[in-house]
Amino acid sequence: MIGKSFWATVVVAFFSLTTFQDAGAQTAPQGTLRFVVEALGNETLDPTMGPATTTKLYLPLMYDSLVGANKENTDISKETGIAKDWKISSDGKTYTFIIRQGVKFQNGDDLTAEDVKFTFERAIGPKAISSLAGVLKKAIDHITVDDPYTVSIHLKEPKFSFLLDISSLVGSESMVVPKKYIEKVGEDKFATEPIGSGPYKLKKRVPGYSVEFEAMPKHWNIGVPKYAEVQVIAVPEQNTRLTMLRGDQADVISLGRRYVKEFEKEGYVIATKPASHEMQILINNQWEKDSPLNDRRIRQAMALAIDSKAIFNSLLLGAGEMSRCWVADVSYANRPKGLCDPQPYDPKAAKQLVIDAGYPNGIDITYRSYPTPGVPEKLEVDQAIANYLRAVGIRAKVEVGEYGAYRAQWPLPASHPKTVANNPTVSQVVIGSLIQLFWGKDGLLSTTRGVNPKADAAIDAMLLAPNLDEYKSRLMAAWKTLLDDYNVIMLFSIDAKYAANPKKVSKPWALGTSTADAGLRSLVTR
Amino acid sequence: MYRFLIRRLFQSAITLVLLFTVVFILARATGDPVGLLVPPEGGAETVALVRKNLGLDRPYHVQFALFIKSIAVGDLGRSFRARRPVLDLIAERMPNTAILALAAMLIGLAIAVPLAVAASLKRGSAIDTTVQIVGSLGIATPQFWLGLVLIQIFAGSLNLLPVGGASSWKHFILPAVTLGVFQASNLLRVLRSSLLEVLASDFVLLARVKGLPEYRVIGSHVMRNAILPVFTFAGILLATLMTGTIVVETVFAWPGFGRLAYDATVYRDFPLIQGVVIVAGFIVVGVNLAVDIAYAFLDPRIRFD
Repeated sequence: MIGKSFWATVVVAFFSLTTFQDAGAQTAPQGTLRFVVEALGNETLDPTMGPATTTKLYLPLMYDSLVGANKENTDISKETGIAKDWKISSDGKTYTFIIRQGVKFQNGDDLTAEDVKFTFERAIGPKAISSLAGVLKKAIDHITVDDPYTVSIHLKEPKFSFLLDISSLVGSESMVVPKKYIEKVGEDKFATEPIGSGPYKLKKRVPGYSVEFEAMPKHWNIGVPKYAEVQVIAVPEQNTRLTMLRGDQADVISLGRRYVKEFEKEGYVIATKPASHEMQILINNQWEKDSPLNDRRIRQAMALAIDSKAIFNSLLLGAGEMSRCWVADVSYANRPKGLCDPQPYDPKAAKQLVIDAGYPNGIDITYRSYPTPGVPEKLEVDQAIANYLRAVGIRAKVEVGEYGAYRAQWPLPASHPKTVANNPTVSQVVIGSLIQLFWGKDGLLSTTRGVNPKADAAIDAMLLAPNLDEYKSRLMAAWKTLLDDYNVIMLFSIDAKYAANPKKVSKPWALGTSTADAGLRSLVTR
Repeated sequence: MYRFLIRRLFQSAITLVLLFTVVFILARATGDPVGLLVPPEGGAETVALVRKNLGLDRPYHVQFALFIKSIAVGDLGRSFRARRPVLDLIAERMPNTAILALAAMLIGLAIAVPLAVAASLKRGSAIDTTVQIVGSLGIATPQFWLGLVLIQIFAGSLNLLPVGGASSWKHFILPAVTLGVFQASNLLRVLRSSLLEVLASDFVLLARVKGLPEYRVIGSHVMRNAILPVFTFAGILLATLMTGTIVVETVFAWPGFGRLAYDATVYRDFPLIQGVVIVAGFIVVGVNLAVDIAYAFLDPRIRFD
């Protein structure tokens, strides 16, 4: 006869099984995340074949970087990269990385030090066209594999920012690629059928439209990914993206700032990427003795003439931060008091400065204006700035053009006399190289070319800093010299916005610091 | 006939060679692509490296010689941005545009033919006036606006159709209709004029006098003659559709040839610019040649001498 103990066992077993099943079902990746953005860039699937503005968007799903970042994406971390530890030699020239064991590529191959060596040699190789290819090529002397899980990168000279440069915060050059697989299938096949060690592998590409990924069962760092599939879709037209989100044909979209309130009211989750762009005015030809822009008073007048707060509030709807510093940059973690305060607005003083500089009838300048992806308000902002300048006697003639045409002329200073341009620059993690580029005496795109010897000396000192802390403090010193002399007019930083269906994304996520980084890795992490 | 063919082929070849030269020069006249490929933080070192990797450090005449040599073997080079063969990129996108173009033309003809016939048979009537107004509105309406309105109604409010992409037959409907309306309006005007001209001909009068049913008069006699100028015009429209529907492709996120060409131009992707222009040139020249040849079969009066 079947006793009570038998039935008790059956009942217990039944509930145990169902609980186990439920637990299994809950931890498996589920559903599809449809992430819709304005563009996919050059659609590369290879970390060394595109600028960070492309590779940082979706490649972090497929690849792991040698040096990772913390959760907030503000600093490097030993928890999230392929390197679980590293040592720097006393002369600062050798970086030895200890590779995590047990990490596998999506085809089952182990990730070893050989893959890391191969990755970097490829990143600085003859075919690389990534953002920092040249910088790393200049820095790296050679790479050695000390044992299967230890690799050393030997630099030509000490470079304290090396870890930052190769981290997932900055570029994609250290996204580790599989040596054996690429040598077996060739570069052309890798370009269309790549594999990495990330939480997602490539499922499908629809050229010109989307890149689709499917989840690996488990990832060494993030565990079980949240979604079974992620589709990153390019839809250039803003209204189409809005319709897709409302019609449940998209789960997350990049959202124009003017639509934020509307979508908030409708109950969508709004995520903010702080300081996606920094809006600044580059003043060309400052070095020319006979140019009014050579006169500090004129540049100061330009700064005082612009009511940046009014522009920020009315055209950008307050989405950002009024600051004269590059906000998202890790180097700006410690901002000296007062340095980054917003530019004051004083048109009366500005007018007087123009007169004092010897131009009672004002001056004529050309204002180059061009559209910027991610800042649809740009042309309106430029018109507003030009109007403010005209009000104080700086007659800005706005020339609207296309960025490519202006960019081509940049290194040729003689071709654009008395020119200023509103140049929103994408947010950078390490600003120092850009400071040298735009305002260093010998910078490739320098707008000053020696007009501010104090700034030149400060920038040189910054570039020779022995460590990151000293670099940060010298960077602020260099930036101060540029602001004091009005070699640049920094207006504000602009936030980027994303809207998400609350059924798929319940709360805002960490969007990273690099402009192209939309935080996909964070979105897929439970 | 053969002399005509050979002459036309020779003319087409000359046209294409001139096109290759012009596109090579004009592409480089747009500016330096390296500045757009390498962001500012890359620095001078990356700019120099990328310039070398892309072969842009060579003299122009060397670049041109390599360009002609590669075309001769059917290689259009590698895209600067995608770093993949240009032919592969075009081959991936062209079918989407071709299907859309054909669908738009079919929709255009399906709308234009019956309306034009009705308008021409009832010349001066309310039907004729209405059709003319509809035709004018169709031409005047910006495709961009029409596309957005259709998206809002059918994909937004009614949620009947998808928007964005080309993964199913449902994705074709809205962009094809948007394009088709414009094609219909153009075809409608040309066909109506042609029909009116033919309807006034003596042979049509004779056909009616002979007692032929009206449908035979229209179908067998009138249409066959009226369609000739429309055929040429439709060929031009089709070539235009195949080579550049950037506005509609942008609104509907349609992964087509037009957007590829636009991206190539904006980013000064020289090999891709050259590739899309060459392919577009072949399409236009090919369609024109096909139309000319087909004309002879449609109209025996045409001589090729």
